[in-house]
Amino acid sequence: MREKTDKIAGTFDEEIIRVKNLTKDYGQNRGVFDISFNVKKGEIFGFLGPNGAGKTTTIRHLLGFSRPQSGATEILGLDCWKHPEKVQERLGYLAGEIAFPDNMTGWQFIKQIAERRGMSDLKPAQDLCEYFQLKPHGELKRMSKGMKQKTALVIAFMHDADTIILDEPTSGLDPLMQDRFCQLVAREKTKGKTILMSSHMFDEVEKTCDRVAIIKQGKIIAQIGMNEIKHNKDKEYEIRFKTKEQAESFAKLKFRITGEKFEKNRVNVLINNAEWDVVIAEIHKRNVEYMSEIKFTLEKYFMNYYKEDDKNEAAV
Amino acid sequence: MKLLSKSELKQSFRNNRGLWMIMTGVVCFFVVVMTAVMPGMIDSGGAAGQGRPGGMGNVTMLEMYRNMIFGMMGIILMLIYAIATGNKLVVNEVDRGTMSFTLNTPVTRRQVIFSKALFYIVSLVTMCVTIGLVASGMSALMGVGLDYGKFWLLISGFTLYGLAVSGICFAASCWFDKSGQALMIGAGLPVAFFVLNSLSSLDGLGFLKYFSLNTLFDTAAVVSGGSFAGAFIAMFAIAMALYIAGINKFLKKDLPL
Repeated sequence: MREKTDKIAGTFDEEIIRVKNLTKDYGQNRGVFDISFNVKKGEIFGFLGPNGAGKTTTIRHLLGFSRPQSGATEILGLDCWKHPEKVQERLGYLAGEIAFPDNMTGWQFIKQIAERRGMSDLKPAQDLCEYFQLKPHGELKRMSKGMKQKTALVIAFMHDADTIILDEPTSGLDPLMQDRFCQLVAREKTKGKTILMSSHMFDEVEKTCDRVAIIKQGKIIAQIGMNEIKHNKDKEYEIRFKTKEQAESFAKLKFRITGEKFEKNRVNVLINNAEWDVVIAEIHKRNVEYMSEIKFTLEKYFMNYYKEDDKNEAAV
Repeated sequence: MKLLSKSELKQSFRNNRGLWMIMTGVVCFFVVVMTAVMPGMIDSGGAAGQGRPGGMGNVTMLEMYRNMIFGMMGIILMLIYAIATGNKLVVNEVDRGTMSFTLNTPVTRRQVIFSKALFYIVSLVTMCVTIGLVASGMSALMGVGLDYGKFWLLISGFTLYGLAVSGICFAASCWFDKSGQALMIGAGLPVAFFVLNSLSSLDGLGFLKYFSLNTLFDTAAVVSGGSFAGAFIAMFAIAMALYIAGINKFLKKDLPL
């Protein structure tokens, strides 16, 4: 599977989504400030950040709902503010906060949107309903949050758009359906779709995305490929020694110590593949009770970034 | 460039026909009953000055319609329709966020707003015309002498007044992102105009008429053959200006969807 992904990753050349120095200042530090990123064809791009960081603001600009104060957003080479209709023809969108009209069933609404898109074949919509185990014939206003989310997902994917923008796509879905969603994204990726999804759930981003941008207070503070996280050469280990003294003496060595709990005889250390000989030699001089790898996850990466950034800010 | 969306028009019709039918139906029902009951109580043929004792004096059918439809009932019910529909058409969809679905289709903002404006205008005009037709038909049927020329002039003024008021509602609906804010202006102003106009008939409060849009719909001038053309043109101009301002704002603003 990874081979296949990497193969497709190798074909990422055409930039489908471009955000160029986008600024929108709502005052009181709210908005987005000079953010830039690109999403290439066939790429699944995660947009990660806490609530209020500027994810939805950026997405609004990509949808052509907001006019940039400065900078620009482009999809398929078209300016999103100036040519929304051309962009929208080839775009699927799931809003962060979904609101449906009253007095309609889910299926009536799906049909209405299909009509506006000029779709005559509703088979893809039916297939998607089945895929998400959605019975869309009930009244929209009586639907649970999960059912509404599924209905909106069907609408976002049913017209086979080349580019899909999803604002927190799995909110309200149960774990089984979240998994289905991830599978759907993987399937769409094999068809060469370009997907941008915002999220604050690490799990789904980790499972689905090729690359991630981290946004904080309206600024992109990091962009990272998921491969860098998955195949990180630095691995963190927790080592427990027999005695406190042994732990302390190990911590004094020139290794990258990331944490210590001497009262429990424990030390956390970051080890690069090239350092193993030296590390093992040092460990050998002491008595070790256990040693276990601490998995490096996107969440950890993200938290580190947030902490470091906070420290920098405090220093400034 | 295509200005209208068939699907948007259809949707506006479907969403608002209920209130239209209720409001138009109530006014028409009122007109029918009034026209059926009144002939015994009024002078037909406009024989002014020869009122019957115990009757309604020298009131003609035209005067009856003027006071009851264009002075009270019709105006109030049309106001309710205009305010509720104006709010529902635009700002309600923006505030709730349902418009994001519409705009995630090849249907453009331009098509959405022009379709909504067209539906709104046509629905108000047909409301007025329907009331006019029902009143004219009923008067003919009952044989009450109605001055049809002046009556249809009143209907025209009523329509223009409706369009001017709907212009306020529409512009407010396009301008604001929150339903509540839009209602403050879209409902507040027309209601204030109505109240000011009513108060201006009281002694010493006549000056208030200069602060009300309703003054432009001068039914007395129409009935008495006075000058009203300027006021009618002003109402038309106000309506046009407000619709254009609303559409312009909607096309340029950031939508919080």
